[in-house]
Amino acid sequence: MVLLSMKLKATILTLLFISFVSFSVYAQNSAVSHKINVDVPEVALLGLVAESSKEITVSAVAPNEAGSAVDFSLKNKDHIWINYSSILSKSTQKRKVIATVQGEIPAGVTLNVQASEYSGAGKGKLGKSAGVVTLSNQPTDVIVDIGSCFTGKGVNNGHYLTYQLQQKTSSVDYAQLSQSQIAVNVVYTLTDYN
Amino acid sequence: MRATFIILFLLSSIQFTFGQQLQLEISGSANFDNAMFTVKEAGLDFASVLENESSVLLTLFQSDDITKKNNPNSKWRIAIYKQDDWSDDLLLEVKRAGSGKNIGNNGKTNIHGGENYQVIRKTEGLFFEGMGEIRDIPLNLKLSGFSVTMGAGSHNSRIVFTVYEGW
Repeated sequence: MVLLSMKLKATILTLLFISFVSFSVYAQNSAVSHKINVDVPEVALLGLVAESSKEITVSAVAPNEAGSAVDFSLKNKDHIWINYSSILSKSTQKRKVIATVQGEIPAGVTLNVQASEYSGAGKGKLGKSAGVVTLSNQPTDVIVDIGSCFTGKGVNNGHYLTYQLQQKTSSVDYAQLSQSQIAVNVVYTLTDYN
Repeated sequence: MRATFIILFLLSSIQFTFGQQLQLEISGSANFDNAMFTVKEAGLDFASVLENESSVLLTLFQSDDITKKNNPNSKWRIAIYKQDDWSDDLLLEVKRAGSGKNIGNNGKTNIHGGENYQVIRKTEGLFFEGMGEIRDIPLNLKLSGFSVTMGAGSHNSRIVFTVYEGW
């Protein structure tokens, strides 16, 4: 009788154990997952915003006294601002803003431009001014070291441009000066470093 | 021996009661691709919020026919969390955009909660609750915190939905 009771207890305990294991298996919670992909593309956008007009007039001033040279020191007062948004895939990559003149610059002078250092409401790796540069029909760096960033939109955001005519230094060049009114286009491009 | 069979029967009954097999299924896709990440004008950042509407559908059903028959209106709750290595600035939010449809009848679904956007965190949190089998519960996802300054590239996250019995 005692032996039977022991067997019964063992059977019950075994059943309890099996049942517990089964219950544990059944009591699993169902879970599913869903993958979210976020792809951020490369972007290069550049815009010019004028404080008043996108037409800039840069003039030489006639001398007041006989024997003096023509004064080319006048700079434009109304600024044009460069806004840009740039997204690069690698932090080591860089972009720059280049300028190219379309048209003929008068003989005897050069057309210079200087981008200011960045100011405004932008964020990120903003570009640096390349200083005073002489524009020509060949691309010239105006703003360099641009990473992933945005300048903010409109005037007072980005870099403003200051233009100035400069007389070429040699007497031969001065001899080439003539009274004229010439219009040229300056094209700005946001481009990758090669 | 009779006692043994009685115990066995009782334990089996308990198993049938507690051994409900609520299952979840998910369909659709929610990708935030290049087309959504547009900079409208030079100098601007991305739009502050990107929303992906009702492209993910959640279905909840009983895989066990006996439970389905004996307890068709079992209560359940769904919890949610995400797995990724995103910075804390990037927020992924989810909301329930509809109530889905009952499986097997055309009555109104019994489902509540989760109708407002909530941030999906790396630790599990309650999303919404309901009763019975419901299919095609639409979900909206919202993304915020992305910026031009983060650079181009792919960012992946995995959202995990878990169903628990009871409220």
